[in-house]
Amino acid sequence: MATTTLDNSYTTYKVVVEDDLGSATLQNITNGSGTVYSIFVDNTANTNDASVLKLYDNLVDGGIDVDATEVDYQFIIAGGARRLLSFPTGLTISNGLSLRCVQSGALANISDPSQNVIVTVVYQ
Amino acid sequence: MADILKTVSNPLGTLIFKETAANATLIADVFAKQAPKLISINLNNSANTTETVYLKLYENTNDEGQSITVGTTVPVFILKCPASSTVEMYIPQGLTFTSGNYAHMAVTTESGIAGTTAPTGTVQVTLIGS
Repeated sequence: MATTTLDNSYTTYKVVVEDDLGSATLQNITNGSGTVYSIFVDNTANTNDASVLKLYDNLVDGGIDVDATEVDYQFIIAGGARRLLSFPTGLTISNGLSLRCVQSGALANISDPSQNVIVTVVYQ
Repeated sequence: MADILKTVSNPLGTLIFKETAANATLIADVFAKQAPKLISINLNNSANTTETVYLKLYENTNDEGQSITVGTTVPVFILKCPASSTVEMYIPQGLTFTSGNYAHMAVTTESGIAGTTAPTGTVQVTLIGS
């Protein structure tokens, strides 16, 4: 897992790129409240296997219990696919956006996708 | 200046589904077809001033949604919308449901898989697909 955050004084938007999002939670990337405008998910490395992107907005710090915390957002990305999830008027994050990616939507699933899933989040 | 008005022959979304009072009761086969592609969502919770709501989409091979239980069956899609607000989502390439499956929906006040509580205020859902 390698996370890159692009954040500079020339734009109010921030970009987080995670090149291998797995079952381990990427915690509170917005550092509190924020507005998400787009999420790009690249699941092309998993040619035949769907990956499930799970997003949480219920804990600022302290961690997500990966097999017990209910999600606020859940999107299944087909195997071999890239998908842009766009929120033109913004997706309001109240507490802090956390995310992880697993093989199925079941609450107890903690299986990493077989290959890297790249996730890019644009937020303000 | 010359104006041109044409009918789009292959629009991205050819189906529009609208529910003006969505609740926790499953609405089966929202696109009336197998393996629909979801292009856009408008989840309007603006009239519901007290509750956050969650749109949940399910899929299975039965066009009546039999064997799907809201609160137990794992949704393929979950979208949160805070009280007194609207969430719009657009997926240019679409999210395609599994081949042979129909799409079903419900709206509850609980996040995640569990929960069967219907919103007390009016929640409108518009889905555009193909």
